[in-house]
This record gives sequence, structure tokens and C-alpha cells, in this order.
Amino acid sequence: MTPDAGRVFRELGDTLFRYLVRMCGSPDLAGDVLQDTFVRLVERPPSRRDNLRGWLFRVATNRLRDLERKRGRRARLAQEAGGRRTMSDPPASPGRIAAAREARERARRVLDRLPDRDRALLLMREEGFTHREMAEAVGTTTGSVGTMIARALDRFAQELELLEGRQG
Amino acid sequence: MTDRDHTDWDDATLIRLLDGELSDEAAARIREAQEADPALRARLNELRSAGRRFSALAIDVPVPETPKPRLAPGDRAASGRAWILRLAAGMVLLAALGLASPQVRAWVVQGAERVAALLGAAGPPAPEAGPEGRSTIILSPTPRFLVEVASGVGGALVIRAVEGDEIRVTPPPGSRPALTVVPGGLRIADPGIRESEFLLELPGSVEAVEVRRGSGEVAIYHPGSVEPGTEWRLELDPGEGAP
Repeated sequence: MTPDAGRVFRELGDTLFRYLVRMCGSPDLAGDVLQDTFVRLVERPPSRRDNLRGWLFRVATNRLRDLERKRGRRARLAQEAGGRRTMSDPPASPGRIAAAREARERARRVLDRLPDRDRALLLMREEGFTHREMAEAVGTTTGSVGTMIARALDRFAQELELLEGRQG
Repeated sequence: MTDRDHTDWDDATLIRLLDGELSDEAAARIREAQEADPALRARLNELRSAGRRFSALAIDVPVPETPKPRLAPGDRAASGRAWILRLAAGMVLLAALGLASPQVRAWVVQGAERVAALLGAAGPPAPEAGPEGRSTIILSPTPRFLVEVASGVGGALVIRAVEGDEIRVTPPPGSRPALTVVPGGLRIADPGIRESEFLLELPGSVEAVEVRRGSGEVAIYHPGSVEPGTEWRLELDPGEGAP
């Protein structure tokens, strides 16, 4: 990797990968998108570097959308459901495993019910993005980001209530 | 969701407050306004609470260790560059080795001469004054030299062993366009030549000269095996090998 791309990867690789996994629910797909995004950074870097994080997340989000369309998101999620354990998974106790799985499934269900842009904005906000970076990433103006986040939070709250109401 | 008709503060501003995007002054104004505006307070709490719940939920999505790029982008570019450099180095080495061989060197020189001739350049290489004031073409020697004489060419071809380290070709006056330098040899192809004489002077480094005539007849001479000054005269019959 070039020194510059290497530095960017060290600084933003984890953040971007975490965002992508939460966006799509598939570590494999997220890994592919991460790879493609950094290839793009090397081969066709942005002309301006003052909002590199926004640019990187926009490229990654668009690439993720493309790949999801090609691969069929639902089919992929169904295939991977109940799949892998992560490094942070606690050691087995049947009760804890069941609780963790339930929490994961609930999180996935709610995230999947959000429109792509809402999900992207809320996840980027989780990563501490500025409104300018989010605007670059989702292709809008900085002034609109606040309104969009507020709407996304409202939708999220509604989806969560719906889900909890169904389960309760 | 709270009824927001009761507050003058828009959601965008409230989110900017929660995200630390407002100036200190603007943030202070909203904090003050909360005291007298329950709707504002409720809305802020609502947005804050939804944000916290989202954070808690996002953490429930398991994230494995970040994979390292399988082929780092820079490596891809670097490997491409390295491949090109290796190829270039290989070509330079081959060229150097090849040019060390007199045969290859002569072939390269003659190839260039041929290209120049085909392009109508001044002619390969610059003619010098030859016997009886005729122009002479000088070529680099090769161990084996081929002369192809097309059907219809008349006159004679004189092959002379000489000292030195160059091949000299002296065509009859006015026949220069009949000569074409080819890799490792020479082609004579002007059917208009009937009586004139081509002179081919070959140094001892040319082990053999092979003359192929349009009729298919082949004659081989060995300038490297004879004394300098030795000559062979080959009469060319323009009717030979004619279709």
C-alpha cells in the first residue's frame, strides 16, 4: 500500500469497516467494499483532500449499494443469518448466547427497516462525523443534515416501538 | 413524538446542538430557552433518547476484526511498476547481449537501413565514392551474408574478398533503387539492369556469402577462407528464372 493510503487505512479503516458491517450486516460484503474503496482511493483519489472521510464514506456507501443490488441483499442476509462469532463474543453460556443473538437480530431488523440514507446518516453520526462530512457522504448540503438526522431518529424510534410492540 | 408546534426551534438546530455543531452563543441561547419552553425541552430529550437507543442498538451489531486489504492498492500499482521495470531491464539485457553479437548488430543496422530505404530516406547508409566514381553502400558484416537476385536482372555480380571490417556494395550507375538491404543480406531487384556489374566486397569476417538467383540456383562463396583480393564473377542472365 502507498504510504498515504496506508496512513488513511490505519486512521479510518476500522471506522469504515464497522460502519459498513452495521450498514449491511455482512462482514464479507463489508470487507469487499472496504477493499474496493481503498483501491479507488489509490487509483482515482479525490481532487480535494479537505474532506477525505466524507469522500471515503460516500464512495464506500455507493459501492455497498451497487454490490448489494448485484448480490441480492435479502438472499445474502438469509444465508449468513446465525452465522459467525466475532472476536468480542462472550464465551458460551446458553442464556447469554440466546440473549446476544436476540439483541443482534433485533438490531439487524431495525437497521434493515430504515431507509439506506437514514441508516447511513445515523451510523456516521455514531462514528462522530461532522455534519459537513455527512453532507459529503450522502450528497446533500450541510444545512440539511440536521433535519435529515432528526427525521431518521424519528423513523428509528417508530420502528423500534413497532418491533417492541410486536414482541411484547 | 412531541408536538413541535409549541417551539420555535427547528430540528436541524437541535441536532446541531446535540452534535456540537452550534457556536457557543447559539447553544447558550437554546439552553436558556429550555427553561421557558417545555416543548423544546421535550423535543430535545426525544432526539437525545432516540440517539442513545440507536447507539445501544448499533453496538449489538457484531463487528469482526477489520480485514487487511488482500492486495493493497499501492501494492497493485507497485507490482505493476515492478513488472514494467523487470520487463524493461530484461529487454535492455537482451539488447545488450544481442548487440554484442556481430550478427545481431549487423541485423539491427541493416534493418534500420531497410526501413530508411523503404521510407525513401537518403538511403542506407550514405553512399561513398566507389570504383570508377560509382556510389558504394557500406554495411556491417555478418558471418553469413545472403544476396537474392531477382529474375530478370542481367549483367554480373562480382564478389571480392577484401581486408577491413565492412561489407561494401557498389551497384552499377543508376541502379541504386534496385538494391534493398534486408536483414543479413541484400536484394537486387531491378529488371532494367542488363549489362552492368554489381561489385560486392566482403571482409574475412564474412564466412559465407550465399547468392540465390531467381531461377532457384544457389551459389555459396567463402570470403573468410581466401586471400584478400580473390574475386568470383557470377554472370547474371536476365532470362534465367523468368516466369
